[in-house]
Amino acid sequence: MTESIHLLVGPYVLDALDEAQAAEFAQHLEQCEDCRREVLELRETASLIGAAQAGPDVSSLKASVMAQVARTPQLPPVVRPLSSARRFRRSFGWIAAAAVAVVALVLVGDVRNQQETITAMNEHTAEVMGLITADDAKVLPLALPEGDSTVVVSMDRDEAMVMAQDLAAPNEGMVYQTWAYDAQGNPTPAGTFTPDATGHVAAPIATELGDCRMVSVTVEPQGGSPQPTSEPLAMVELV
Amino acid sequence: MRLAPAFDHEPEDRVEDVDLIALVARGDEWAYEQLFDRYASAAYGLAVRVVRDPDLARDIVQEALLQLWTHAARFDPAQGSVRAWLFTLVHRRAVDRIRSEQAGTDREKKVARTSFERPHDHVSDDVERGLEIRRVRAALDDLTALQREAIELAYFQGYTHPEVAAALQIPLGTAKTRLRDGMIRLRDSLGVTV
Repeated sequence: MTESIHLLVGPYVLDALDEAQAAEFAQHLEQCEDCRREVLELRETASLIGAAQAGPDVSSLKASVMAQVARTPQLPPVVRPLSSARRFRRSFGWIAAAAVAVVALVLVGDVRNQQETITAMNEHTAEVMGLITADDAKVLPLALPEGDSTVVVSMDRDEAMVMAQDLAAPNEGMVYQTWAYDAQGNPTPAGTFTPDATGHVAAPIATELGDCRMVSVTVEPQGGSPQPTSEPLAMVELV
Repeated sequence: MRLAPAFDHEPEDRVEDVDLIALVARGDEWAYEQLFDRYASAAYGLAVRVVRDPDLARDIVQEALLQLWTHAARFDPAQGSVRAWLFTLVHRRAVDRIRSEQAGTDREKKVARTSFERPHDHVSDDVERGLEIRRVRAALDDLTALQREAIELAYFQGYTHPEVAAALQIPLGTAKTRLRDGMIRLRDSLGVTV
């Protein structure tokens, strides 16, 4: 941070920079925590000046705004993309735990051929890490009845996974099954999974995401079903 | 649609902006109306003061207020208050309009004609708001003349900082400094913390 650019906090919060300077300063803010903090404080201050302005009667404005509100849909919240591994570890550390635990299960559960196992482990790790660190990766809450569960999705990679921790095992002879729904609401089977001994899940959703609007999870008999035979435990919209 | 019957039992309690916007995010028109009643008039006043044209100001405020509705679910309290969000939106739109639409001479004439006029405040009977207005005016009066003039030219006339420097016949660096240290002084006398 140079002293001269820091001085631009004042003009910046008062909208007294031209477009190019404002863009440049916004870029500086990404790297300068002091300036970010000062911007927040001075913006609050500027808004107090604004809010202290004497204003005209707004009853006719109110009537037209309320009418507009009544017929205007609202945008959904932004689901923060996980653009870096660092950010991912900070907020969603348990997803890494889920991924690693599943990898470990592969290692102990499938020891016929050590080389095969290591290859499988590497592939699984690469798949999980590749997905969760993709620039456009989104973590969508899945809300299975127990534990923490999400769908991690990257449209760029055309990949998605169910990730969970502390998920209870389904009843004997049953598995969890994911379903991918197209725009018409028709479900396609997208793989089955069961949590490992510690309740972790990192299960790829086996479907083309291009047509997929929504994912759900049901409990189905071992081997899975061609159509859901029970009510979804959870659903999540991908778009 | 009304989602928060809990508040009906406590009509005397002021619901915080941040709680209202969370309700708005869920489609609550009552909560939206509370925010409108709190800020729309002042926002309109600010826009009129910047763009000078009541019809244009009305468009600007209406757009910004509608954004409070459409974008409520994207409001992030870590990025500042609802009030700061709304007034930043209004101010930026107002400044963008005058920079893109008004020819320099036209604008100077309008500024000369209407500068520092204070519209009648129809809600001055609202004691709390009256106190708040007086508090902010006192804080502005407490600035040095140069700080106050620089801030008023930037905030109310939409001047860029080189325009502020030219108008006050001071070096550019001084204009930057006065805008910043003036705002810091206001922050401290108004007790703003984040």
